[in-house]
Amino acid sequence: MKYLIHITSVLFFISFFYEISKAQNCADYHVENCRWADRTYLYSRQSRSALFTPGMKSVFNIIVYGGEEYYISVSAHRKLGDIRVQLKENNEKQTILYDNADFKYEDYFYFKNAITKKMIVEVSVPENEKYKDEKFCLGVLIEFRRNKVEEEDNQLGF
Amino acid sequence: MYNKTFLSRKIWFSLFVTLLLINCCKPAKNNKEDTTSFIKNMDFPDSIQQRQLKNNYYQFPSAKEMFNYIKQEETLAFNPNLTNPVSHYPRYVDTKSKILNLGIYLADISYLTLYKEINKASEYLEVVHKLYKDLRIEVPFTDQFISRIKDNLNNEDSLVYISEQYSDEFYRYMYSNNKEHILATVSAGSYIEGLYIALNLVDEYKENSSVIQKIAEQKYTFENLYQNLNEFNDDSNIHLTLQYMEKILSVYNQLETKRKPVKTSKNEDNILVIDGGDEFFMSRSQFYELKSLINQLRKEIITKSF
Repeated sequence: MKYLIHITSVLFFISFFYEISKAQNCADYHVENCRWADRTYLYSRQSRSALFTPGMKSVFNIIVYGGEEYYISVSAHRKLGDIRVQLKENNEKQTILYDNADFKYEDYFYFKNAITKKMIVEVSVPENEKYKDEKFCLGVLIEFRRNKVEEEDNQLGF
Repeated sequence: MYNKTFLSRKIWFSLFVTLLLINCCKPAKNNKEDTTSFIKNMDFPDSIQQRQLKNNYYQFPSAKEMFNYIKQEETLAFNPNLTNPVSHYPRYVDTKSKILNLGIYLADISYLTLYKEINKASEYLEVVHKLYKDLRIEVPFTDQFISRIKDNLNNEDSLVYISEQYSDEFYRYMYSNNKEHILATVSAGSYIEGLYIALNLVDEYKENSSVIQKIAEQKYTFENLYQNLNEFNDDSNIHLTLQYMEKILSVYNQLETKRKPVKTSKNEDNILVIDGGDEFFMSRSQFYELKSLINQLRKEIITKSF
């Protein structure tokens, strides 16, 4: 009987701490949960996951190369609500170039960029009194490919 | 008889309670994120949470993304003498030089795989594996990766794919195990090596060279790398790398900038097109100043212990 109690205790603790360790770490959240673009796009190491609380806003400073097409996708726990994503110029004015609030908070978008520049991806989630003390994972997936126009120009013959 | 039945009931009851406890802690399959609710009641003095719960992240492309970008337009011939020889590995005895040279070797692997120099790349992977061990970086499935590499030495495409997977595992491991301070220095080492290779692949300065233009654009990456490193400035191993970055940025900050207003439009596929921005111009003297500085810093990193 003692042996059985030992085994059940160990099983219980393994299960409990496994769940906790998963909860603490969001490192892979964007890989596992964000919607991916098609296979012509390549994964960028600028992708990242983070912990968010309701009402929080975070800024991801990224670099986009000239002549490349980018795909940005976000995902988070449903309790965080609609994720707002704004693409901004990285200057004093921080001019908004794209805001997913204008597109019913769509969780992905594409853009083409002509000249290499620094950009800001600002991600925010609404306040929520019910879950205000909880932390949730949020992922930002960034993919890229060479500008399609250039590719087409190079595709001569068959 | 009575005792036996009683014991059996107790066993079943214990099993039932255990299963109940396990299931109550296990999220439903379709609701995997619910695990995060555990954090609410746990007061972890956990730096992973602190690092993941911040308002500003400085991101930058990998050295491989940078190589791919620079190599796009002009034909840059492969130069086998630009990588740090694997025979230098025994020189790196202290942590600082091991971390910086891990970054150097990782950039060398990216350069070698980009030019499909696979056999040479596999030698570099072995050194990287040794440095991982020295630095107690336990990338999962390392032995499997090494054996897959040995099994595929004649299959270039598979080797490129395997080395990319291995590199992804490394980054995943570093983020998941609160080793971002080490990753920041590794990335700085990789970028110094990447810039060293790019600058030395260019034989001579040409005013309208797109490669030189792309080297100039790396100013942004070094700015974000600096900000990223600066987050860990309480770590003594970071100080030297920060000084390197400051020296490199002092050259980059001299570049002339042409401003074109940023404009957005939609193309025929309804995709956002962003035009304009700051264009950098790198003069002949700035190009050679940067080349000389990077050559000197890189030499310092690969030849001595700190």
